[in-house]
Amino acid sequence: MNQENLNINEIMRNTKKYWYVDGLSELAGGVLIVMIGVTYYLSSLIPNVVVRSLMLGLGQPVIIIFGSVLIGKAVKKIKETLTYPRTGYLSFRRQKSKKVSRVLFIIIFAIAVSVMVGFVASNLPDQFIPLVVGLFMSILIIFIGYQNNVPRFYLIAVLTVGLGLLISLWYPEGVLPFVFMFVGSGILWLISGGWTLFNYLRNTNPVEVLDE
Amino acid sequence: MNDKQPIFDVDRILHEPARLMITTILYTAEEADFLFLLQQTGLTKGNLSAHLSKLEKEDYVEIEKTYRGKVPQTLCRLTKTGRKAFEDYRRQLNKILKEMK
Repeated sequence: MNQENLNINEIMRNTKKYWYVDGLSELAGGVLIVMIGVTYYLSSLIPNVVVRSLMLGLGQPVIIIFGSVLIGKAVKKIKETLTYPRTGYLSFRRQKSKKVSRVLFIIIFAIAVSVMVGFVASNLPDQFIPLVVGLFMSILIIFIGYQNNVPRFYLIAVLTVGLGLLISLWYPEGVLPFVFMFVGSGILWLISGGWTLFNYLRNTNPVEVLDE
Repeated sequence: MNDKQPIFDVDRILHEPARLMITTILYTAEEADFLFLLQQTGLTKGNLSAHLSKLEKEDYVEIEKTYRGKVPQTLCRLTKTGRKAFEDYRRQLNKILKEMK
């Protein structure tokens, strides 16, 4: 790749980075991941196997889909009052024609990851499932961090693997490894988002009138 | 395009670094306001205004004056012409640089 292209790519990545400038999306993601962990815990309290399976099989995807939509809307609303008056407004391009293919890609990607996790986990003792989950989560976090030029995501990825390793070594009973894995990584995102938001608010001020 | 002197065929409007930066940002985004462009480019208000006017004059950029609540807001977005010009520019530049190697 040539230098000119590199610079253009860098500007593009820096533009995409703006979505993460205030830490709000990390806070939102953190809440969602914690909620996934909580569903694991709640499902373990249900004695009926069928109801428990339904809660995990249907309840969890519903929480993920509706939670993402609701949280996404909330983040946009907060950005309107908090971020845009400080560092400006930016909306990202939506390629409507590619929307279906993007959804398909996400579904195929999710299935592929599940199959890979299942395959790797089946060849390992159950104890190491949290580590495998942590590794796959980290790969995704590193990918998002690289795509959007957000280096702090690399630290989250490392900590997520560390968390997976810790839970694997400790290996509590029942669904607790999953509860700790998801709640723990959700808390990592919340800390990262909270810290980023704190710094953002400390270093920026709303611009009331801009003489153009 | 003249293959012997392709560098002279490069879009001069986009070849200027500040305008290339503005166009790249707007290519990545759907739309951005003046404040965002100011922060990202590091240009002065006057400079940014001048470059945006130039891009608007070439029909590369569309500028809309609106309000965010009671605060005036200037929204900028790339036109179809601007989007195509940017893609052509990148293609052209890549070609030139490949030929130079």
